[in-house]
Amino acid sequence: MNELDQYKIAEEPFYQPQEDEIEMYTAAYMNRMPVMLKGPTGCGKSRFVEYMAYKLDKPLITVACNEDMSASDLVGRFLLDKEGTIWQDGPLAMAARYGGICYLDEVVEARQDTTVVIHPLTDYRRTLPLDKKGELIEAHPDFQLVISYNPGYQNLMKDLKQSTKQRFCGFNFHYPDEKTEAHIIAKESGVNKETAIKLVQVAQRARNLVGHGLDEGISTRLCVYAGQLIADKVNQKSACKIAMVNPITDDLDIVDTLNAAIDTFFE
Amino acid sequence: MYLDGAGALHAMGKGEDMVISFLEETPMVVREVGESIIGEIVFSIMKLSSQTSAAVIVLMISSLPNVARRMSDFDLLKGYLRLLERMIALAPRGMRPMLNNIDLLTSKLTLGGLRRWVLYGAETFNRDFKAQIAYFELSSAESLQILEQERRGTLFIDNQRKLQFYLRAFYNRDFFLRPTSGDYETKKGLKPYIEYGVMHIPDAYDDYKHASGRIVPGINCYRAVCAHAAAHIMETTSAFKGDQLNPLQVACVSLIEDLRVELNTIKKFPGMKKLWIALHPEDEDLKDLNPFIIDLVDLSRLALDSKYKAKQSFNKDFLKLFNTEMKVSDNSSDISFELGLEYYEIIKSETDVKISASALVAAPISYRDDNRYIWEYEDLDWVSEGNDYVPASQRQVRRKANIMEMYNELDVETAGDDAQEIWTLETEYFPDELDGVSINEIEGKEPVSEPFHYNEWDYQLQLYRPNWATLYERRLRKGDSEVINNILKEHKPIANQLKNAIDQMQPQGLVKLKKQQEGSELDIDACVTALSDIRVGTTPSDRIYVKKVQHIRDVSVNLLMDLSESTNDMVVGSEKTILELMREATSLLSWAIDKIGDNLTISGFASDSRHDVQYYRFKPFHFSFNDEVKGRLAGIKGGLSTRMGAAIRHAGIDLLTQSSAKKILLVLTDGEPADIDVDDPQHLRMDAKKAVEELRGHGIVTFCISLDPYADQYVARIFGKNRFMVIDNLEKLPERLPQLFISLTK
Repeated sequence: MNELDQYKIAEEPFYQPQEDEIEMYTAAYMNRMPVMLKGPTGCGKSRFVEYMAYKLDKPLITVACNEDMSASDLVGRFLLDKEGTIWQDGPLAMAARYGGICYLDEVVEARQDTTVVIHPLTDYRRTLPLDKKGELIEAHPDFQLVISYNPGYQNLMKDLKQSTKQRFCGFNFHYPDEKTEAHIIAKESGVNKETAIKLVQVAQRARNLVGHGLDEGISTRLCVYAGQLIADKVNQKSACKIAMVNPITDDLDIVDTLNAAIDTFFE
Repeated sequence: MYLDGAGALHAMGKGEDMVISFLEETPMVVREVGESIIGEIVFSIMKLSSQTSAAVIVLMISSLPNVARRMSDFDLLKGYLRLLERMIALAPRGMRPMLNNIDLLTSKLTLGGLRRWVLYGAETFNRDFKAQIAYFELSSAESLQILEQERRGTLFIDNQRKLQFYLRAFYNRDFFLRPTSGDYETKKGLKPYIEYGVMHIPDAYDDYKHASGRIVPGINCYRAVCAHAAAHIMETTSAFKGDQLNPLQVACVSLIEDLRVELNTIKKFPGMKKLWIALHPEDEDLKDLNPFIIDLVDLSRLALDSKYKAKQSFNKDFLKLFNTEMKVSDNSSDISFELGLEYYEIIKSETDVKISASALVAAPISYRDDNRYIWEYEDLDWVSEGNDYVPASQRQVRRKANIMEMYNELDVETAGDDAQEIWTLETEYFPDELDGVSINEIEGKEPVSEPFHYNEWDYQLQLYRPNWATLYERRLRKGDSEVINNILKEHKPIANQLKNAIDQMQPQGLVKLKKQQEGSELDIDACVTALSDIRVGTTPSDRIYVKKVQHIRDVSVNLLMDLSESTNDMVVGSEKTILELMREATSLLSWAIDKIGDNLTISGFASDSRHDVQYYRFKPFHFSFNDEVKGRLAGIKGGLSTRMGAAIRHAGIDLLTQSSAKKILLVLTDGEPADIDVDDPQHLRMDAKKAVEELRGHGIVTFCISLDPYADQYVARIFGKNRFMVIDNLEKLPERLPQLFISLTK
């Protein structure tokens, strides 16, 4: 396991459970079942995986997926050095070989001919063929695959094939209820509970505009950023504007509305 | 209606210019405020014509579209016409210079402000013609001064979008806002009001200035008004019966209900109270008012502002009682009625109430509406506007009959497509009296499908009217496919251009790209070079892979043509009709897409009220562009109206039957949504907008190609900012439509 030591989580990350996802994930892991996390951006999916990797004491290899990703980016390729060609394992191959959790974040961004690479690992076979190398990796007993994506309506053009989807068990994530979200923000950023609740209120105003001018609402992550700025004694209203309003929209009328919302909740 | 109006104008015998101008400009006005304005315009022109020249009237008519755009409300525009009529009697010389400046004036003034500016000049310079002209020309210092005075800072129309977002952000639903033409000033002018669930907001606000010098910006005044009105709409649960009450009791009950809805809102959004407190008069503002009014304001401030110290101790006691009652039941209007009456008794016994009815009208708390909503509150019901919902049990029955039933049954001769029962015989029916000819051959029409029912969005109620529109798929008689072949021949140069563009688009399957940094295979040539570099001692390149890329197209397109009556109009400056141009464009596009190999269906629609929306299929999916399709395209005809929402929904369902990744609906139209049974121009526009949103929720992209040169505003509102193209030069349509398709589906 030495190769994967650098991927182990050193400190316990803070994670606030919403329902029974911790128990369910643990059960899934006991069966090494592949897991799919669905939810809007910034609502805690990656944090959850980190937390579970820490709890189960397994190394976590994260891959941020994008449209240019090819199968070799996941599986591995030959590199050239002065001695000739050497094989370099990709993150998926490493996790499979040495027994880590491989987390493919925003998997729907990748092309479909890339995502099918995971198929042999996610059914009863648990193997990963390295065609170029002529090797068949039998997955380490500790290996597990986790993927995440955002099923918002703007992603309807890109979707996973059913043959991929039906290899996973699925967890739905959403922004937590007001109290929980405030607790998370307070813990992560260091602001007091009152301020955290105000930040959540502002975020909810933006979430009401989704589909009516905004593509996505304000995520918990942005609330935490705002909180961090406020905890550092930045003016509260300015912190909200910088961290929560400016990143999500360029529409001046919406910016004005959200600024008015900030004025409603903050002095 | 246009023809009647034009006829009446022509009969006045004042020359052709007036009639022509009327016919040219009025449609744009109608687009903004609805058809009922036509009668008003004709009436106004008639009144004015006896007092001024035809040239001035032409000027007045050409001012109307811009004024309509700024006012965007039927009542306001009527007010404008009344103002002109009044002005012509007082200051006829000033009319022409004023109309020359009308765009500038309406950009700075609301209707109320314009009224005051005009009347000041008209009354002051009634006899002095030179000064009159100077005033209305805006060349005299006095006219500019009065203009500045009447200017209002914040105009509703400039802030409407912000206010819509504001309300949606807080309440998670849409509200409908309309301007009213009172200028709001503290002691006179129209108040905001709510009617049929629509909020009527003053069309301009100044910044609110307290006597102490504190200023509240106009936009915050607007937000306070909208937030309070929205609070009523969300929280008021029943109407009050005011018949037995005196005006003072009415005032008290209204105040308590106002406070109740505001306090409920503040429970959810504590910060809202800042908006409302800021607009409460302070002590210096109340100086000259009647003590009764002052006491009510005192209670209101006490209820909202925890830092405020009450002037009257009975208000403090009453508030305690109020809060106790609210803890028990805060979500019913009933407690406001009882508490309001109780408050009246208290105030009567504690103070000496002497106030006239007119002083009661003075409403120092400016952002609250006039409360007609709570005294006339009615259960909102879409049946009430004369739009009848036909329950399923009364809908048409269609069945297939056998020959014996057909023979024995008597049909109603006058029954047509709207019959209550329709029987169909599968085979042809040869009655004896017709001598070997079937009824179908004589009377047969193209078959009509089973009815499809679609909901329609009522933007004022923010609800769907269930099964409101009935759509039938029909077939048109086929035309001659040679017509289409001739079109393709005629446009050969464009076809060649397209062919080149298409060749670049065609899927080539697997394409190999050499010398890549990443790829699935080794590029042997590059490897050999790299190895020799290693031997020589230089750094080898890492571009040693071959990448295989798939060129695939996975697109389905539905091209939906608007086949309404207006397509029979001639294209300006050409011999063709709009319909013919649409046909040419569609033929070229279909030919192009056939070559590319994409999945295309062509359809058309027209409507004859909500009970008969007609949908035509010219080319189903997966059919090639063969003679049969060409024949159907050749036979297209224009007629009836444009009920776009239902057609869009039906076209969307068509697209959902296809499995491609990209689904596109291209709507080709020459005008805006309208139908003979709909008066309000906004209704079908908003419904079309809702339909486009529904389709987006299913992953279908809707794009509009409009042939109406004035389309920009409403098309953008329906389809979205980057989802439309207005083609001014219709001759270019056959060329641009395929180009657009290519760029949309790359």
